[in-house]
Amino acid sequence: MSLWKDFSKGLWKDIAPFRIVLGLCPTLAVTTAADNGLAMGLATTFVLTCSNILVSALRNIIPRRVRIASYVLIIATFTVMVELVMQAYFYPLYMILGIFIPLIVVNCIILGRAEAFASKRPVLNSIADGVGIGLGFSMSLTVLGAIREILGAGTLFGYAIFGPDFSPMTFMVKPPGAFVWLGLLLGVMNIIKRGRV
Amino acid sequence: MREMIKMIVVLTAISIISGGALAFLERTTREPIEYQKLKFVKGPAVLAVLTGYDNDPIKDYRKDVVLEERDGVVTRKSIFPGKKGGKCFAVAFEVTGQGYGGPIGVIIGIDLKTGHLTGKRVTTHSETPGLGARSVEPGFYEQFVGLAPAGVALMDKGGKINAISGATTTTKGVLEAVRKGMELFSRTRDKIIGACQSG
Repeated sequence: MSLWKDFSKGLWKDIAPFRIVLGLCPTLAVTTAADNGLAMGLATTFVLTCSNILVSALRNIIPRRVRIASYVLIIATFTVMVELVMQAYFYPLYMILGIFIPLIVVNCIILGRAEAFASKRPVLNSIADGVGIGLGFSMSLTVLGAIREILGAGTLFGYAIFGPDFSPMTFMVKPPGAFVWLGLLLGVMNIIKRGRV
Repeated sequence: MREMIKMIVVLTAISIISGGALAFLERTTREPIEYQKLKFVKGPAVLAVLTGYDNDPIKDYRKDVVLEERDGVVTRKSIFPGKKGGKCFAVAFEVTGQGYGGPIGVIIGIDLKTGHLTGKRVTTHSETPGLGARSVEPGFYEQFVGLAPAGVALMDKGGKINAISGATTTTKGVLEAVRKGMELFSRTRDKIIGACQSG
């Protein structure tokens, strides 16, 4: 039961980046289209889950004073793996996500989960936590990307959804559009939360 | 003291394992990555300058073929063969010239029979947007299709090329690159054809 709780909290209660406002750099930068957001989210999920597993498994071996250095090493290893595999098999995606893939190393969500959760919990719970938070993050990025893509390009996952007469608001796929929609979504989430309490 | 030894041992062990894993992965992905880079960076240009092929010029490419050796300088080129029905009819390779903002990379396609250009595309450059950067536009590159070596010069020098207005240096750099490429082809024609057929 607690496993389910560790998993599901990432999907709504602690959903990144709306509830735990971390990882804003990739959130703002790559959500120009739904599939870019989804790809970035899944890459982060992979690194997060793998690093959670290792950090949790090694939690009694890693000395406290070098724990951050060890976490960064572990996270960096998985990030480079993602980067190499993406370059080898999904090159067009790699060209879009570019610099933001190596930057997964310094994604605060991943380091945060390693320090706050995985370093104190058993492996199974850490997997649940990693997959949950990761999928929540992917969902958020996909939604944000979808909104910006629909308004800014008139497409969703690359398919045109309006007639040819639609004139896109290019502003939405430019950086300011990211701030506007991140802010609006954060506001909506806060209203929902307040209504509950 | 024991604490310190433990720290050193743990960090070293993690580094070694991580380094080993990455080295292994790097080796297994090296070839696919090289192919993807060719396909998506130079590939579109190569496919555009070679028309009428039925092979995969990216897959058949010959890496670093030694074409000539002059004064101890060895010239190597990677050759992209264009074939139809298994027979080579054209090749594409990359040449570079000096532009206004740095080196300009140009892919040229050459017809094996006539030695004329089948096309050219600028792939990498750091020219000024709006001026030299317009060398990637169709209005400029379409002028090169079908030209013999003599035609690759500016109009006022007896050639057939209209310069990009406001970007004389860029135009000259591109022309220089294309001309060098065509000269290299006429000097080492047999080797290029050989490389093409083995690809």
